[in-house]
Amino acid sequence: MRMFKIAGLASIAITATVLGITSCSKPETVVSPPVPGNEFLTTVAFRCINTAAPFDTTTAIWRNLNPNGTQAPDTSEAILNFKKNSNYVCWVYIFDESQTTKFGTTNLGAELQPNFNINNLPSTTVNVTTEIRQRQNYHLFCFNMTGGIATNLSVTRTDYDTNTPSLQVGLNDNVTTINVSTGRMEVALHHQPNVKNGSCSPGSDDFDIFYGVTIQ
Amino acid sequence: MKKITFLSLLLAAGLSINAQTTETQSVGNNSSFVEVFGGFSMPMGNWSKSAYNKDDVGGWIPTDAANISAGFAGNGATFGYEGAWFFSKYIGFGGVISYSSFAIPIKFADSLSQGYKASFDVDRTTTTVSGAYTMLSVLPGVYFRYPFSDKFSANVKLLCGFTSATTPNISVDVEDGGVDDGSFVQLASVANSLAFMGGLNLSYNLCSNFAINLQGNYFYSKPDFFIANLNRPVQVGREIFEYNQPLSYMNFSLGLAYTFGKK
Repeated sequence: MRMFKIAGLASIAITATVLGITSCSKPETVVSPPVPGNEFLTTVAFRCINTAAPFDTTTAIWRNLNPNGTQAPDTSEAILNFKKNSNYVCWVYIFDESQTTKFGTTNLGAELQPNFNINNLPSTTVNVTTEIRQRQNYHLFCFNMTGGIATNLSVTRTDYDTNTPSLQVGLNDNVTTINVSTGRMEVALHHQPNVKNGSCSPGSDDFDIFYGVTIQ
Repeated sequence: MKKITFLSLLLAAGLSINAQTTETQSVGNNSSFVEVFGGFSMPMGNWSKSAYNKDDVGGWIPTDAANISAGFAGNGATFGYEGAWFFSKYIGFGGVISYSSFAIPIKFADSLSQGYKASFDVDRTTTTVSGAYTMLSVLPGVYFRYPFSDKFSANVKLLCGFTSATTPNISVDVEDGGVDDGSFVQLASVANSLAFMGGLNLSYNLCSNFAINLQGNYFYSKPDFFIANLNRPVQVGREIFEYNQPLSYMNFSLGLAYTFGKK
């Protein structure tokens, strides 16, 4: 009988040890900190074709070849010219020209021109658009019009990601114009990891740029 | 509450075996025993792998076999009760009630965290693992005993029973561009399954009624977990909805046994 008591006490002691070890286990937390970025977005192009008149095209290029921010971006080609009462199908292209041209200078002549061919880029120009397409599930392009075009130009995203349910992306768009006017079109690429919901509010900005717009 | 239930089960099992052994003693068999044991367990197979294979832009590949089978389980511990009644010199019936726990170690949690960071292309991810893989098992079966001397004997057992297993809770907080993009959670899940155990123990009699047992056991089960994920609007990064891989481990433990009958 005494032996049974000893065995019982030993059982209780081991059980208490088990419960003690279990109850002492705390959640383990691991933080993966930032690392230096390894890619640049130097150039954003917006190209449109009039759906009723394919010869009517317009391409605007916004470029910042100086990642340090010590020089203003080159907006000399960041202008879109539309015809009034028209519909355009448009594409956003994003490039890294950091290897194509020399940082800190402008207009070296090697960078992309408005008549660039997306299928025939210089070998040193990186088409970041393909990466954004692969990462479309947490990216969203947002367009905001100011000035006279605010009521005369609208942009509709036409491409969708593979989230469930699918959400718009904005690499492919339709532009509709109404009356003659001028203004600025803001194009922002929102990075929305874990928060993409179809609206522009969540997340942070990969870029936020402006094009001048004229509707004739 | 779960711990109280667990404690009650263990004590009830212990008392049950104690009661059973009173009869054994009257038979006069000197090989039957009850035992408390605990030791080190090593997970085996895909369950113990930590694959997070990515495509060229850091996206987790959902069709990658290694990705969907990896369980990120680290080494753990197994504790429990064991008892057997030998109706002949060499053969007996008995069973094990055991509790095993396998946490996700820091290095695997870091692998997960780095993977999510690349998949979402963000500045920072914080991964928190709460709980562990656990298994509460009840395994009856047959025991074979071979005595080498009055002091030493070896036991081989083959057990088949039931296990109730759980997975850990994994929470990941995402931050990019100075903006906290919230947390998503892979919730803990519970599944039940058949389980098998085979093992060998070496027993040394300390005195007339107590022995120490050194055990090596192999455990196998295959519960089918259905896993819920919270706050996952964006289908990027590791996201699993079902985990149906063998949960197997090798356990090495030390036990204190009470043996019955006159020596």
